[in-house]
Amino acid sequence: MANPSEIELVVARLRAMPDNALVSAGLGGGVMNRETLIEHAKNAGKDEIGRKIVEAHMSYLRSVGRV
Amino acid sequence: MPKSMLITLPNFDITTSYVSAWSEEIIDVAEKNGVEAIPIRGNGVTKSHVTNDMESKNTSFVAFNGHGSETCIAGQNNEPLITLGENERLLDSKIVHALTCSSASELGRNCKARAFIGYDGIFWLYMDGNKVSRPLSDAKARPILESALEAPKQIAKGESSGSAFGKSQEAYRKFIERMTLSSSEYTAEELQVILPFLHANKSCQKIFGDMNAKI
Repeated sequence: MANPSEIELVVARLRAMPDNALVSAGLGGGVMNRETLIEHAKNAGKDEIGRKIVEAHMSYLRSVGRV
Repeated sequence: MPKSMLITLPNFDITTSYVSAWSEEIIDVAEKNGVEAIPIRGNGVTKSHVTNDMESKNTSFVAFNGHGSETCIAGQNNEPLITLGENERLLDSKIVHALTCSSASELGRNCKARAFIGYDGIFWLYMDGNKVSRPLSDAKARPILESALEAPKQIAKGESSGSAFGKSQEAYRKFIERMTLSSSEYTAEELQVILPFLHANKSCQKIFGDMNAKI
């Protein structure tokens, strides 16, 4: 379960995403722009795609020793 | 008997257009290595067509592209092609690569494919929104798609399933390492988003079955 500080960190990283970038999360999430990704991430406590977005970012940050 | 493979190339949304466009190269790789490639494209990627080809053609390798779930691999317009508990027997004794979300989770783990390479979670794809009508010109999608497609390319070259999986994992690792250390092709802002998704795809890529299986 993502905690509020993790969600805040991931949302801050997503805010820096370029305007024109898109992310596909397959059938469940579809193709998302920056605002949609942020909206999911903000609701990671109850939103499955949001939880997976936060998990992906936190797992990477842990792997490179940044958290 | 000549070696052959089947490849599905649905293209009904942005995601399937990307994975299918980038997967066309697998056909060239196969043919250069003496493997007959049988592509099923676009509206042809239906359950009836795929079932017929899998039953009538003696292909030892099937490369699926498209959407999926824990128990299903889908085709054009998300029509289920292979569903666990219904027709997974079509995969029996075949080498399978599934570039879909989640299908390694239940279907890949439980089917009787000779070897199954796929993903047991979301397959994330990062794209440049200005390039969606020309997927092959989208350099931002390259790290994710080249890493993933290394596996079916290696199988088409005649490598074992275990070696193909290892080379795909290595491609992911090299992109992650190179992009983490320095990158002139991507801005810091892009890397903040691409790298976590590349890392997530690497982590949820799985292989089941015979690691020595060859086409």
